[in-house]
Amino acid sequence: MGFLDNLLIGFSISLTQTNLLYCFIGVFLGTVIGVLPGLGPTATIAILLPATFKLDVTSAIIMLAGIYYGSQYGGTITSVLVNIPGEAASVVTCFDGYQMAKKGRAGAALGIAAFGSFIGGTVGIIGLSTLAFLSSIALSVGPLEYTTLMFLGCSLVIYFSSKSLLKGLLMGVLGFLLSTIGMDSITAVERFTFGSQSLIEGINVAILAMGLFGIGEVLYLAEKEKERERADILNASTSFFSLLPNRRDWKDSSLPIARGTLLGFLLGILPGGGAIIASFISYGMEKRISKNPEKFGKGAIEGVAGPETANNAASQGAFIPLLLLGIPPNVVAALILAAFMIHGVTPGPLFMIEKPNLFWGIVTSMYIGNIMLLILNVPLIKVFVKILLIPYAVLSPLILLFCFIGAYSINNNPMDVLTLVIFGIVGYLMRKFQFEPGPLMLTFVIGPIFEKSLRQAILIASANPQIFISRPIAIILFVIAMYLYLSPLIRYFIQKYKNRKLLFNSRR
Amino acid sequence: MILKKDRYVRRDIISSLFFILLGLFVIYFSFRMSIWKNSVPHEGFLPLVLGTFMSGLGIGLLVFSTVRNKIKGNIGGSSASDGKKDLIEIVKSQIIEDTSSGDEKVDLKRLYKYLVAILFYVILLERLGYILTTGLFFMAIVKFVEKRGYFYSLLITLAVVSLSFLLFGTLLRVPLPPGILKYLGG
Repeated sequence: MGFLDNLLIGFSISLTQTNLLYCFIGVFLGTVIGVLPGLGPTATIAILLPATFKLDVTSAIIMLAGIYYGSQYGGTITSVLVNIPGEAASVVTCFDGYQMAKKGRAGAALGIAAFGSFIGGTVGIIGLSTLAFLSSIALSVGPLEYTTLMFLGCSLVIYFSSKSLLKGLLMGVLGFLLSTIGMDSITAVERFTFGSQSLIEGINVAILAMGLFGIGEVLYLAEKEKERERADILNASTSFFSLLPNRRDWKDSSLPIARGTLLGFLLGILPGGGAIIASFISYGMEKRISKNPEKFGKGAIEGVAGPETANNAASQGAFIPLLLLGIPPNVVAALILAAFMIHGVTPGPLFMIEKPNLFWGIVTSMYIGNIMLLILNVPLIKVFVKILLIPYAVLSPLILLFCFIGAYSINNNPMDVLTLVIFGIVGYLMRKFQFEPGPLMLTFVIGPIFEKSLRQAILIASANPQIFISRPIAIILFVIAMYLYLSPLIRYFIQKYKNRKLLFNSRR
Repeated sequence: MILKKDRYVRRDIISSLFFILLGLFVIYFSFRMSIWKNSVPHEGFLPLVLGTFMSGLGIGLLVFSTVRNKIKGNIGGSSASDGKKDLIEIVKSQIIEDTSSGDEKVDLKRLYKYLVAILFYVILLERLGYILTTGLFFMAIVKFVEKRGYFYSLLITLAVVSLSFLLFGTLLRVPLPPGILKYLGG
């Protein structure tokens, strides 16, 4: 079947009434949570995981994917209008977007961000559609390469998403460890269950995710002494709206949009990249390339167009390793992978061949989702901004309630709610002790796949040790990962050596 | 005392000790499983490796947190101290700035109140049922923890309870616990 045939099949699935509805719910929710500071796509997807249990797998993934890329749109609105990034990937948009708003050019900033996001997102999906042939290459990847690829992927995520590499690593190890609880899939021996029946199937991914990201976040916010007074700023800056950028805006933004698309897409594919880093690098790159770098930070439209395009292209690019290799390049993708696994589907090299309807249904829903987002975001920005008026006093118990219902609905068991609360307290303590829950969640989700692949790889390697010479890719990937972990130490010792040399020369 | 001055260092020491002990605990239980047989790794293999790593990393964290003041630039953090930050360092430092907990003042009383309300929710959910427990929970949080007016709290509580019951109980058919209200229904 050709590419166009596949697309047609995909559209025949994604354009059904049910899937259109869930796509809309996804992008709408994505925009809403993008607007709300403190509630990101990770927490939202975690909270909604149990709600997808009863849904058809296609509708479930379409909705969760919509939340992910929709949140990139929503985050822009508050960055530009009130200088509060609703979502981490929109932090850089504050730099110039808010300055533009202060100069009365909020409309142009929001307009170019929406169009840039649409272009970046759509090109990202085209990339995803056309790169689907990579699954045939991925099929030739053996357990050895697959294990090291997963190891490198986790390492990159830990390296980029953690404040401290040591703490990130500890979280990664803890996530892997938690994934070993329950019955071993190969030998059927119980591990760390201590006689508990409920632990035989392991820790429920939805409960863990809701606890760490939902309850943990609410508890962390609860101890903040002052909640942000957002209403006043909001009323001051929503007066001017002309959302269509003028010819000059387009001229200034066209190249940053093109560069942002390419950069974002490539960074989205790479593990550890993702929307946040794509937006920061795009901003840095635009500033470096610009003939007038002094304009940046004072309302340069290039500083909005580039990063906003890049973060959307990256969120689409992230689906390539997820769908074609089964390796989530970031935490949000890991949760989407968890949703797949809950429905008994494992994405990977065979996914497109075995489940073409599901694969192409999800891919084509993203085209539709991006059009929906453009329609939603341009005329309805004023409505979305009003969401900021919901105080934390209502939002926090609401998040808690969704988590409670979600946990209870899994087995209709109040013990699950208690487990959720315990993980919530753990999530809170992790934030207090400055440990990021992201790496833990990622390694927890891919833990079982990694262990199986690792044991296969060891079996192959012990039978034939020369495999490392005949298949050097695994070693290269492993060396890159090890370099990441050792690079701070290497840098420290180089610096120490330089300082000592300098001291020695100055004494002479 | 340097350690007392830096609460983050103290927290790092506590967490490092926790991870060292957890790692040792995992190693101990791994040895009670089968680790390696006939050139094949068994169920205890990965936990043993992970437990060893965890203890090792815990020791690493302990060492780095106690000698942090001596080392300029945190390992793994924005370690470039010579002003020649490369792009990755800039990116990392920006993200750190965005997500760091900072030194904001904290209201622990509110946190404890939240925890008590959550605990009561878990205890009462099956006994009182979804509607009553959720109503009490919302009222308690909005009125007594967040200190909003009676009318506002009541309005929010009624709206949330009815809408959430409609959404989850009726539309999504989640079997929410009826609690004591089941006796009213007969």
